Amino acid sequence: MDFEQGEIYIDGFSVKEKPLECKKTMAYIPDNPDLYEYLTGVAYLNFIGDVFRIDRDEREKLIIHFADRFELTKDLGNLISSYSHGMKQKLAIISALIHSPKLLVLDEPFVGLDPKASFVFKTIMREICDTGGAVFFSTHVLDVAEKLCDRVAIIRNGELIACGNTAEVRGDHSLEEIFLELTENA
Amino acid sequence: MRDFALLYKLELKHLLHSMNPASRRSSGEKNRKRGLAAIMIFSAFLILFYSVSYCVIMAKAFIKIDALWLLPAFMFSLCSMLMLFTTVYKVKGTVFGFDDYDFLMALPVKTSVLVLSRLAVLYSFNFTALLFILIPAAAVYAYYAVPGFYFYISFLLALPFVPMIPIGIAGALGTLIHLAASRFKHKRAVNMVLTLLLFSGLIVLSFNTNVFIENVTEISQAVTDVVNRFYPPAALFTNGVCKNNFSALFLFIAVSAGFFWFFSFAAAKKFKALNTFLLAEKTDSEFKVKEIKTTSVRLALYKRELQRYFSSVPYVLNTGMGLVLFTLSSAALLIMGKDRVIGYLGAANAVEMFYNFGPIAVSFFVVLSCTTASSISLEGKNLWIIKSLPLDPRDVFLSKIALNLSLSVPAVIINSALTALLFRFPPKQAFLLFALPLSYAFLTALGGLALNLMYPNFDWSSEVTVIKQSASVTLAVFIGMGAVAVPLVLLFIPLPISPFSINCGVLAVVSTANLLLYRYIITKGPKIFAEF
Repeated sequence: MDFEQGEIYIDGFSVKEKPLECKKTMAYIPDNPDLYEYLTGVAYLNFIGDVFRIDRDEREKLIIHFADRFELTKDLGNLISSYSHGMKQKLAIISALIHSPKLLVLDEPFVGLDPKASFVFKTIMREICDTGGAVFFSTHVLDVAEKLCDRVAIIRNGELIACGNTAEVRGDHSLEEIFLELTENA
Repeated sequence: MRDFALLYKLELKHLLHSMNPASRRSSGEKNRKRGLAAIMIFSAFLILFYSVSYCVIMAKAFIKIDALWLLPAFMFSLCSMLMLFTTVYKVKGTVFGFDDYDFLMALPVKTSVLVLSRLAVLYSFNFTALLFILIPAAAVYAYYAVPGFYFYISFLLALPFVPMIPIGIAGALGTLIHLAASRFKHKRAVNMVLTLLLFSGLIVLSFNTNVFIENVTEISQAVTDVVNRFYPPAALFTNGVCKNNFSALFLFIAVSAGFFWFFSFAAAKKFKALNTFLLAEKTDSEFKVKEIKTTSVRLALYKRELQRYFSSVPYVLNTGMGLVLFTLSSAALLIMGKDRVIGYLGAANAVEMFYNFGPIAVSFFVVLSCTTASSISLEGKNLWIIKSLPLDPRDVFLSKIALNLSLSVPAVIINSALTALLFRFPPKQAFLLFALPLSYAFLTALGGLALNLMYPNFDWSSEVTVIKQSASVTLAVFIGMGAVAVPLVLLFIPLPISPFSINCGVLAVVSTANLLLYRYIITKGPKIFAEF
């Protein structure tokens, strides 16, 4: 399939025809989030808040809430250029969460996160899904996918070779065993 | 030697790759790149043409005062000053504080070899640039002076050593500025202030402002005299190359090589300590989230552009310094007074010349101050942020245009007001003195953005590459200069149209171009942006 073929709908909106409507309801975090190094953490969050038109009180409440959960509050006044990789990852996650997206699209979201932050983020992902949202993420850490995901898909050489409920795809084996078996036989 | 060659090739490839515009997923990509290559080659020939023309004009003036030897001296001084000014803020990112420091220091390579390889890349770029200035100067000098064989040998021997002292001085000054700024939390702002102070100080020291020069030969003689005192290698070069003084030539080569070796040795010795210091960031761990301020989307984008602009020393110096100096010059002229300025010009119709050429003169400084030509490229690895946010690309474009206009429009208003005040412009000419430069301000902002949409470059490790050396910036400078040069030529040629009518015609043409460019950016811009 060509890169531009097919259709994607997010919350009923076509990505091709209504890209802005789609972006309003989702958040994307790449695997290596390069942020604006010349801004402080709170300035970056404010920028995101302005773009999503989050009102002042709600914005302040959510920034404090997520920054405290990720233990990043005391560093929000520093320039992003002084942040470690893990801190940048946390800030990117917080910026994705403060506008309450219905869909999160994440590429290797746990890389660089310390164990506590990983746990907090997994909890938040579960909260989003339990309230009707969705989280779509890629990972090479199959244990995380197995424990966290309701549905999994396995891709090899750009081809979808398995997709479905985690329990159905896994069967009686671990996801790692299934992955190795499918990718060797494909 | 092998390690040096490997590291040198690696860094050179990296820099050359980052100077190429990004590929777009669209048809005609090959044709676009061919067109760009053709424009770059044409630009190189154009630079050579300007360089040769300038040298010929200077040579004829020096011949009149029987001092043709001043030509290589003056061009050598000019070249050295340019290298000094352009290398100071390249030090961080090239010699120290570069992104792949951790990776390179983990390799089994001597620190001194690593430092030399970085300096060699800096040297290569400076040497390539000086060829466009000194080769034409030498060729023009040789044409008129018909020197002996010694001149050619000594020139070729001296040429490779010309960049060494400026690189060493710029390296030392740049490092000291970064070291001083590193002590502060807002080190970028401190860095900018210190660099601006350094540049202003160098300009003030280089020129004797008490003596107002009456013609171009005295300017050259005075500058060369001052530079010889301020920069003694200039005298050594001149005596060694043009006056058959082998001792001076030998001394020039020895001093240049020695100075470069000393700087390289000092840099290698302190390399790790300097990088540790420069790459560290001052932090504060007492932050509490207090009152949050909200703004509109467009204002948030504009604030982001402002913060981006003032966070980058090369960006500010390359686009804003000219306007600042121009404004200071206008203020200085106002202080001197109209009668004194007219007296020095010596022309009977000096005031009328100001009425006719004033609008174009102000416009010249405006077209050299284009922030938009690199504004899209400077998104770099952050591009994913604005592409993933619910932002209309047109709002992003408008914020970049607004930044450019925030610099150029106040500068135009101030400089045109000072000029109009000084020479008491009549209403019609005063209107043009404001309207024409303002229309060029819009042309510069819109044209720069259109060029950067056509020729973006997101894969860079040093922002200096996109700010100074990218295709879009080069094209913006040349097209801008051409846009001012054409009306200038029309004003010089005796035509059966009044200068006022010519300026009005130029205003109409530039305004029309602005409308077309705005339409292009608003209609085609989002589609192009979506392909990045």
